[in-house]
Amino acid sequence: MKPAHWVEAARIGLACLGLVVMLAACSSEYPAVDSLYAREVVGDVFDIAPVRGELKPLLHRRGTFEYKCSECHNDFSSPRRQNELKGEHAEIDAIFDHGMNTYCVNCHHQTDRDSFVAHDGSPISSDKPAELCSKCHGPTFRDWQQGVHGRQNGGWERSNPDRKKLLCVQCHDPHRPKFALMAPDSPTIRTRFEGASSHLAANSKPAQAAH
Amino acid sequence: MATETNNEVKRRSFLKAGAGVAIAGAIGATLAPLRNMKSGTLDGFFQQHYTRLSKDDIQGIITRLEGEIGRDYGAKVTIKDPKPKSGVRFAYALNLSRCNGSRRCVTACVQENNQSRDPAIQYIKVLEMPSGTFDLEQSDHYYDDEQVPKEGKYYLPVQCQQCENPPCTKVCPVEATWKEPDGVTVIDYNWCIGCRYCMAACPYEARRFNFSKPEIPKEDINPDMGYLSNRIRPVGVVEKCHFCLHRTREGKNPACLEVCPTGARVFGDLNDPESEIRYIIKNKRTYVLKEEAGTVPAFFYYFDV
Repeated sequence: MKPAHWVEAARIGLACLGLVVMLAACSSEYPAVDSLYAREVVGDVFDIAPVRGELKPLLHRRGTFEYKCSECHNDFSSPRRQNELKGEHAEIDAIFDHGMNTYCVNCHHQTDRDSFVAHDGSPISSDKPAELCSKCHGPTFRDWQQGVHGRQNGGWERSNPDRKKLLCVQCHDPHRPKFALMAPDSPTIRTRFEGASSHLAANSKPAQAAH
Repeated sequence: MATETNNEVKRRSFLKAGAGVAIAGAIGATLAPLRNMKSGTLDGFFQQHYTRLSKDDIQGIITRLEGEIGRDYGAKVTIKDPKPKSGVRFAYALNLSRCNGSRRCVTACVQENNQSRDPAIQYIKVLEMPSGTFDLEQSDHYYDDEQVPKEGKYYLPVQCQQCENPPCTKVCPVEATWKEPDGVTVIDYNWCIGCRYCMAACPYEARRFNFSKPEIPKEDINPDMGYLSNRIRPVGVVEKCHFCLHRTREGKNPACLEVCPTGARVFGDLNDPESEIRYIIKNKRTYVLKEEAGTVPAFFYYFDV
């Protein structure tokens, strides 16, 4: 036996190993942090705006102009039992759909025009829509108070001061409270095999529909 | 004579040398994949299981992973490793009377959790169900209507149910997935071998597999990452919903809840008797999916009004 050959073999082996280790180690060099793209995130990376935005003050809007209700209604009154809206309020009439609740003054105060009205005739401040809606929607109001109806942003801990319940009108249009239809986001992407072949994609859907 | 034999190559010594070279070559070839491992280093190769790592180990690993993401995606990110809060047990409730199938939760989840955009991976599957049945076989999660909800349908979003008795963790041959004390089933993406047994075991089809390296434009990467949650996954591992634990362990809500346009989702602590989730379980007729499977989900569905 000749030790020289063993040494040679070991040398070659070590060289191979060394090469592998070197190549593996090469990839552990990372680019400088300053050269990287730093995304600035304020709050969350997704959009949490409510469907109807923030609570708007109770104003009549015409183009860029905004009027307090009292600006007109202090000068002329409207009939108490009118449920057909004309002129200035025709656009509300076009969309109006609130079930049996068809009289304006069921919600809007007859004399204190910038407020809503409670059962006893006293005004409800226009920035407290939940108080108004609770007149009829008791169980829903109870659930909303518990934080179960409607979204509650900010965190799950009850002690969290940032928690915020959305108000009724941030999701529901008071003149048409049924939740509006929405366009859905794009569907779950099918696997690339289904996507690549229209034949397969066409086949998978009728199979579902056939049930 | 002796010098002559010394210089001659004998059959035996030739074979021995040849065997030596072959062995060395075999070792080299065995380790060769390391060269092609784009997301790996030797440190990564020899990394231990998450539960056996010390705090310093994790810090070192996080630094390495941040560097790797910087190298592979060109984005600056921070990875944290929030621990479960003691005494907290997370649960989810979803009001099916409210859900309108808009899939906003799906989109927010993808944005928050750095799922691959191509091939697209989504944790939440919204099933379009015919009214009046719980039969999941009649569902369609490819619905692509102009407007939702459609007449005669209801919508059933399904994601990981964070089972109390999870089948997925039992079948994992390397214990790369386990249940945390706050009820969230997590995956150590660096320990997963990609066998996909857990995907076969899950009755809710909640797990996803990274068939190729996740592709995310650097502008879309959420830089706020968690080690067990939304850091960018390597190719060949399984991932799934983790109740956004990098958010929820810091008191925030999961992304899907924060964006839900109809407020159908409620998340909270099952151990807190005053929590919203407990109110729902007490006052609504909740049910769980596939109760007969014995998985005891922490995800409750209900209808009201």
